[in-house]
Amino acid sequence: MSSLGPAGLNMAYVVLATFLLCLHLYANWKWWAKAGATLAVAIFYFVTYFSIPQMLGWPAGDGLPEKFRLIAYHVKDNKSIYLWARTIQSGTVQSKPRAYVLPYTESLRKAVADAGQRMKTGLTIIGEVDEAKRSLQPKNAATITRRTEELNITFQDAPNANNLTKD
Amino acid sequence: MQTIGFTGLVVAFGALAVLLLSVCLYSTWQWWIKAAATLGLLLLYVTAYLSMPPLLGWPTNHDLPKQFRLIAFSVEENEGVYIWANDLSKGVQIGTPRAYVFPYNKLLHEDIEIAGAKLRRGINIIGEISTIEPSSSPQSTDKKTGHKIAHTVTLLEAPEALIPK
Repeated sequence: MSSLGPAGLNMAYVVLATFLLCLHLYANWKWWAKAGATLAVAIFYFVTYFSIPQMLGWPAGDGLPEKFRLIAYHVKDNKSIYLWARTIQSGTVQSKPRAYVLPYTESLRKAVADAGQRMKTGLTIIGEVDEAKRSLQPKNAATITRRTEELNITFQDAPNANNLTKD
Repeated sequence: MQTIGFTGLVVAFGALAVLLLSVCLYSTWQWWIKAAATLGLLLLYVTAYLSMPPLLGWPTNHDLPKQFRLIAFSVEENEGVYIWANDLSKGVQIGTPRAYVFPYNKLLHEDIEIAGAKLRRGINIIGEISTIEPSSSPQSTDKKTGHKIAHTVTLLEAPEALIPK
């Protein structure tokens, strides 16, 4: 299912404010009940504002881009594999890295470990994600299952890192 | 200011549900208006749920750990110093890596490049973060960019016994 991001949150907050306005205009509650409702909505905004920062920084379980520049990886307890990467879109590398978490598979662990070794020698590694086609699975691809789809992730040396422009 | 996390979100959404319940029980609105308000609140929950995932993964400058194990870093000059690290307060083995960002400053850039060279040689690096009081202290301003520095980050080689292989 698609995700919405900050725009969705803004939309939700506007709808809530509209609901509160309707309450003030059309409900025949006493003034203190309306004041209480206003306070409840204000507290909601305040609490969510201070709740969201704690969610930042943790790896995303979704949204691994089709093409990315790998910065680092981390394997935890043979349960999860974390990638830290920059999205590449239309040949441009985004400046802000993002963290992702993927289900552990032995093939993925080997693929990222191999990529990690190549990175240590100074190579730039590009990851690509596409739908797994069993008959055409690349030799150095790792396959993971996300929800109901199987994905191939391949890590390749960037042909010429200078061709990737920064955002 | 302290951040609240998921508990705060649960409390906030619970308060909204209580508000809706009050509307349904005590207002004299027609049934279809109450039904619309209920549907509206459900849509708000669904929208908020779908809005959260894109927030994940991006580096934060909140909830900085006092001590961390450095996993990786990335520097964008004049933009920020990005760090990927495990919070050591939760133990050496426990902890999902989290991404942090610090305002760029030359000193931190130099220190982290040195730490990065050690990381590449297989040496574990731990970091300590301390907050600078927002005063006129000379430490609180990057001399090169003039930006205010809110934290100092000290990077050290981890004792061998601390981080198991």
